[in-house]
Amino acid sequence: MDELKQQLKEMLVNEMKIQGMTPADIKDDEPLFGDGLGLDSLDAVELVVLVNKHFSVQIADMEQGKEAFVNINSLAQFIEKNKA
Amino acid sequence: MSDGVFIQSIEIVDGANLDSVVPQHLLRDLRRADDFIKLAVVAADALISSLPTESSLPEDTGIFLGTTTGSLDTNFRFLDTLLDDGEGQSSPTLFSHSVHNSAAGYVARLFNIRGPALTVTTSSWPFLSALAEAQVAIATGQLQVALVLGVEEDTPLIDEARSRAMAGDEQLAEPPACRKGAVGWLLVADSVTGKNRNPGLGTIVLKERLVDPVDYLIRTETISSSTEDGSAIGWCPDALKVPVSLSKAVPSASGMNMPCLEWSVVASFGEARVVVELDNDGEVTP
Amino acid sequence: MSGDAVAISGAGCISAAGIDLAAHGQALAGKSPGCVSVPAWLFKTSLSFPVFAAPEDPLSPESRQLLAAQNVPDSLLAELSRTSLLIIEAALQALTQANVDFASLKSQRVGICLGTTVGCAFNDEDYYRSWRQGERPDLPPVLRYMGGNISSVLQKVLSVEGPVLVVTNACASGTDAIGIAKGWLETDRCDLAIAGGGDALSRIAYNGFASLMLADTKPCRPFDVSRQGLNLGEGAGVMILEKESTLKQRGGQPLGWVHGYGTASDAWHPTAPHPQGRGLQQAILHALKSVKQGIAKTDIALINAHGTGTPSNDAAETAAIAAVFADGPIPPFVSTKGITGHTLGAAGGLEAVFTLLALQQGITHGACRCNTPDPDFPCSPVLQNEQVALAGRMGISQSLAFGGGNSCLVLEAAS
Repeated sequence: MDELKQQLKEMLVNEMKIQGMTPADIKDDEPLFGDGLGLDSLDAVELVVLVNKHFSVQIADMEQGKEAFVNINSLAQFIEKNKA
Repeated sequence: MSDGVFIQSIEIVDGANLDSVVPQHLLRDLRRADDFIKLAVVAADALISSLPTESSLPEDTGIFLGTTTGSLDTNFRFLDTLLDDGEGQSSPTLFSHSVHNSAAGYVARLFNIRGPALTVTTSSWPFLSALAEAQVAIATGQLQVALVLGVEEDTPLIDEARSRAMAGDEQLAEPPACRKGAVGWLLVADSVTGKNRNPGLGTIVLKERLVDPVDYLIRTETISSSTEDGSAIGWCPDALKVPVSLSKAVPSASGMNMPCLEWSVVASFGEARVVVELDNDGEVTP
Repeated sequence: MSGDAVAISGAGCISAAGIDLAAHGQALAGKSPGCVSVPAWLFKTSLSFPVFAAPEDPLSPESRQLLAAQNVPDSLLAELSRTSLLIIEAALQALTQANVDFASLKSQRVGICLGTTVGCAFNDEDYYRSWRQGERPDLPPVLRYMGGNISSVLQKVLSVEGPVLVVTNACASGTDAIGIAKGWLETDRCDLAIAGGGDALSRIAYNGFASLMLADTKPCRPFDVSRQGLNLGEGAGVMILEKESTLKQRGGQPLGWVHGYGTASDAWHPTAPHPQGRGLQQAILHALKSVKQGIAKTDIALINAHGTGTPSNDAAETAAIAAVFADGPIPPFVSTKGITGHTLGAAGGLEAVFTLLALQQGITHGACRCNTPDPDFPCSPVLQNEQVALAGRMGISQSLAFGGGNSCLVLEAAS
């Protein structure tokens, strides 16, 4: 699970172009959207594509996405649960 | 009713060193932006900074952006994700940023400009078309201020095709490194006077008409041939050469205390003539 | 009516709704083909979002005859993009309806102002696929792209002179193009203007909207509580605009007028609209204010809304409409994207034509597939099975775009 979280943090920094942060700076329970990391609705759909591309996990709609995307913890759990 | 259209300032952005000129405080807002958008934002930032510190952009400020191809590079990078990763896996960020008007949208958002934002393209000089629309909008009282931007970015696919078209079957050397750049003009209604504007470069009257095709040439009526030729500038994309030439001619003429600049360009697809009455009466305010 | 008014002397359109103006008029009453799986002749896809496709051959026999009579060679037409052909079809219909003599066009200043999105993108996937692998494919796709500016193409086909412009303001392009052309006439930059928009369906845009999770796998339901997204469409809608005095001088009568135009930016987000539609509110207010003879909000008998069927657009748009018309009755409003899909650059052109048709008919039918309005909305559109007699002949056509642009036209139909 820790390795997965690390992968997710690297994905966020490298592919979502989060500014001024290294993967190590991202806390597991830090909110990804809104006041935490500051991702927005366009990042959310990009994240859906990246999660499918790197982990082969599909997110059917943004209702599902909202729950999964709360923070690194929830995202890692979602991927673990839904991996093929 | 007709208001004079005053050229507050002109900026030219050389795209070769783009990352070093992007304002630091905008980096976070520009994290997803491509070079095309960054060029527009850098130009807009420089123009807005030229306003006197006490004034801010009025509510009726417009953005007018002209480009020949938009950000083709981002278009191709989106295609890469489609071809590499497959349908349903392409990048939504790249797609939304490949639309021509994404740059004007960024300028509106980053500088909180809520007026019109118009992005146009023509097969000739889209910057001049954008200038014409902005000039009319101010002259007819619809706007007080306009940012007029011309942004161009070469892309390897088009460069290669162009070289191949010109060379025929011969083997070619590497096409030149991709060039990109922007010009920006800040236009202000004459009626906005006093401490709300700095002494600038003159008022503008723009005429446009089509004539019989002739060879490409740039002619300025009152400037000597010592004006720098756009083709000597390595960073400047072909499509931006005319806007850059005009953008240099105006401050150059102003600096030489010429009363009037008549600048025109003629090409196979038409002619444009710009008449600028240069502002030589204004005193330099500190 | 002042002799200076910008009159509409002709209109033409082509889309999934039909091949001409009459078909689009009937489509408003509910008789239209609807959406389909992506036809194989358009492009191959593994995705299952339905689309609203225009006829496979955009050019009608009448148009081909007209072009042949003007000595436009088939070889030229064969080189044109689908978007250009859709535009040409709509433009020829409009010119015919306006009773415009082709020969006389050549002695006038003819302005051409058209909106597009797909029509200015480089869409040749085969060329790109080969090229990026290091191959050097034959050049015609690039040459077509470089020579493919749709307004320049139309200018060349009609063999006319005057100002030409392509507006690339995403989904508001067609609305903006008509507004700009109105300005050209008012500032005497041309004698007659051909204005509107066009876009063809493209695999690239199709995938783009899919990845943005904005498309619905079912037929779209603008303003309905169950809406899940948009369906893409294609087509072209074009109007012929002239000063009323010029039109009357040549013995013509207006179909209607373009009285006002306003546009404003949300300055909010690259793709999502401002939640209260603040830019749209400003655009509508500016459009109303721009009407020379003055207009009251109560004069607006109909709003042709953008209404894509995405959760966020329809919410923002109803918020804006309710806010603008808060001090009085809210005009009946509908979306026609249930009939044509979202035609991107063509939308503003097609929807201006739809607005004119409805105002002429004096009646609006409800928004296609809107059966249960979203209870969270502050106002509801006319529902699918409803009909409303229009209280007047003035209407609004409005558009919201990626990049946060919002544009609005005020139109009137002649009696």
